[in-house]
Amino acid sequence: MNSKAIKLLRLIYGIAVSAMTAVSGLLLMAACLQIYHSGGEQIYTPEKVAAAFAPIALPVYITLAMIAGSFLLAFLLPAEKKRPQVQKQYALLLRRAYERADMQLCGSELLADIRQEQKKRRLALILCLAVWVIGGIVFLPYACNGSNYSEELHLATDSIVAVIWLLIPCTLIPTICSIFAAYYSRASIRRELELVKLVPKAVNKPAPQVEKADRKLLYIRLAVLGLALGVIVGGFVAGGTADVLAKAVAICTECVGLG
Amino acid sequence: MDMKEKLKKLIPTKRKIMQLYFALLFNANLKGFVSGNIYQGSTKQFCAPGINCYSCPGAVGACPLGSFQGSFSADRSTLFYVGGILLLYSILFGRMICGWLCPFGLVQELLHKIPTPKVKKSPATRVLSYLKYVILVFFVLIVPIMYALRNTPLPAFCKYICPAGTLEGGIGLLSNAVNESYFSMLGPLFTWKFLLMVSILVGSVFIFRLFCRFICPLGALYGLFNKLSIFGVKVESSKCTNCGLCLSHCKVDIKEVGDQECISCGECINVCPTQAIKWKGIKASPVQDDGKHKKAKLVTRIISAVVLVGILAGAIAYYWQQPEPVSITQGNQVGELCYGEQLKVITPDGILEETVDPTQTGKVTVINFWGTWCTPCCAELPFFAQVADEYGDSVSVFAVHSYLLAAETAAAYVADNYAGSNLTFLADYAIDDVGTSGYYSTLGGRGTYPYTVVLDEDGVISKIFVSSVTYESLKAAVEEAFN
Repeated sequence: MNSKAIKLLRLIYGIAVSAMTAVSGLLLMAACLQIYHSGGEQIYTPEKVAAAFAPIALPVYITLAMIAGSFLLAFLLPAEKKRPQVQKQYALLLRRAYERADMQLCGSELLADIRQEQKKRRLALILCLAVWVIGGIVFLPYACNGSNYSEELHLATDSIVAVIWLLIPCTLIPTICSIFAAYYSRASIRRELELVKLVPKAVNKPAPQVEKADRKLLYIRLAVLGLALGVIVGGFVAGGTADVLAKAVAICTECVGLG
Repeated sequence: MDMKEKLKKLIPTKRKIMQLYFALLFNANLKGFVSGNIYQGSTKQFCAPGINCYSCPGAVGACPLGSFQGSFSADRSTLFYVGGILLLYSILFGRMICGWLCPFGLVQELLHKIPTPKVKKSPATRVLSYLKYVILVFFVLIVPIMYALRNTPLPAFCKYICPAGTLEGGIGLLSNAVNESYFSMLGPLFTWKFLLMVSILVGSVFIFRLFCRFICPLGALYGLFNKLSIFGVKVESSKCTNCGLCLSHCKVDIKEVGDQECISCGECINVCPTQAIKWKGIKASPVQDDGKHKKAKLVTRIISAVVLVGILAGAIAYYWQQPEPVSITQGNQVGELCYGEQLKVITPDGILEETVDPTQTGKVTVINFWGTWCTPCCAELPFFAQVADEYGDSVSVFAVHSYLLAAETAAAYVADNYAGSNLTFLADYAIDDVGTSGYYSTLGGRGTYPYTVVLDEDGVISKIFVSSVTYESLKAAVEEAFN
């Protein structure tokens, strides 16, 4: 079998396995929801679980068999070894381009274009940060206000869910903005890279200085390590382990999501 | 590719072996998977470095994240102890823990091995990787602190999100037939967590370490110390040519090797054409890898392997012979005459020497096992108080505080909340000794709370709740006991 045929076969099989994996996941979730919506005095019973999961056993077994088959296929018909595909790292390429370029020889028009590109990117970043800050200003005071959490503990989940409803837009909107900004930034770096490439190369540019070993880092590490050990010993001596042990051996079932 | 090469590809990498090793070591209580009980011994006062739920039957240590959330509501010493441990792990290893020690990371990586088309990293995934900081701030800090201010622990991340808890703790316990009674406690919360867990596990097949990259607050915390950590990977800038091969090869959303997203898997070390990427800290092997010391290197490897296997085997053997919580064979099932014990009375002033046997009241009796460290236990206590007030002398309601070692004292809690109540608070007599089981275990409690037993007038058990009760369900159980 030639390599193209192997590649195609593996691709088609991979897509089939993906589809079956996703379908199995959905079936598992559907079975769980079916039990949940069945209601009754006791929502989950071993009998209900068995009854809901029995019909999906076949597709799940088929998926497992297909997964096993995909490993076998990979073993028997391995993909051709190829050189690792290098995704272009534009930020790195730009840094390299700057290292090579002699910016003093750069024409004023070109320099203005480069500065313009940098300015646009900075603006995108600032706008993005502003959206995050606004999100934080809206959300944090509400989330840190104790009165928004129910005094009655059996209603705690409801009040936390209410806060989460505010958290979602306050996170989602800045995230979407950030994704757009990230793609814009990448495109902008590419454009800047093309511009920097036009700058005449430096003839005898000094090699970048070798960084000296940072002793400061060592001191910081030692300080943090000392602090951590001191705090642990202090906590240990004062009996801090007792509470950890209590919560680890006497499990609060609701706290681990059982109910 | 010949057969030898194909077989060579099947040998797991050093990192996979270490991940599997630590997953086994942190879950060395293999007996728990057979018996369905969680380990209740003293090693659980130490936190494991990775996400490993302490309600997993195999877990022998505490989860650092669960302990951290719980520590806000305890006294300062607990916060110092757990915070110090987190700081120690961070400064020593950073996110190397995610890459080498975390059992849930291993689960995701194994799922990702399934040969399917994969979602590659992109600027979008890079942005999404910051979501774990939002989760860290809200679920691990804000909500637990807000409830800690009311002296109630609420580990919001464990409760609402952690898929490792659902997989290791939830499914781990439910899959054992002896825990059939746990099904009664499952409801909307479990449904949500099961859906979330399935989504994350299926997503991990297509997206490399979906949970670690976008959700895990422990990884977010460790990541903050990545550049500062003693162990991990580093780039020698004098050798680096900025070729970008390391970034292209890397499956997580790093901008440079060793930044806050880097899990120090070390795979970039092999692809770097100028050997600019190196391990930080001590050398992994004391023998130089120059080809001249092959024999010495082999001996070192064999010794290391023997020591590691010895430690694991020793741990498994140690936990295997640990005693299980003692439960009686008669007197703790529905329809049986309830086994009685004399328990000390807790009042707002403290624990008295006066004792009461809750089974000897001659009335319908409710015995609730609770703890100040248990949010749902505290949440349902008002229902018991309400029932005690409503039925007056015809029903005895006891709230047995199960763990006196917890930092929050039961007496102070009673003084603050139930000073004039008809509820009788009792102290479980023996559980203040590490690893021993008290009246709770005698009556069939298996390490999970809350737990409630309802007796009829003859002292016969008419109902057992292995979960939270509602006012309605409790009242119905009391009425049933009258009939």
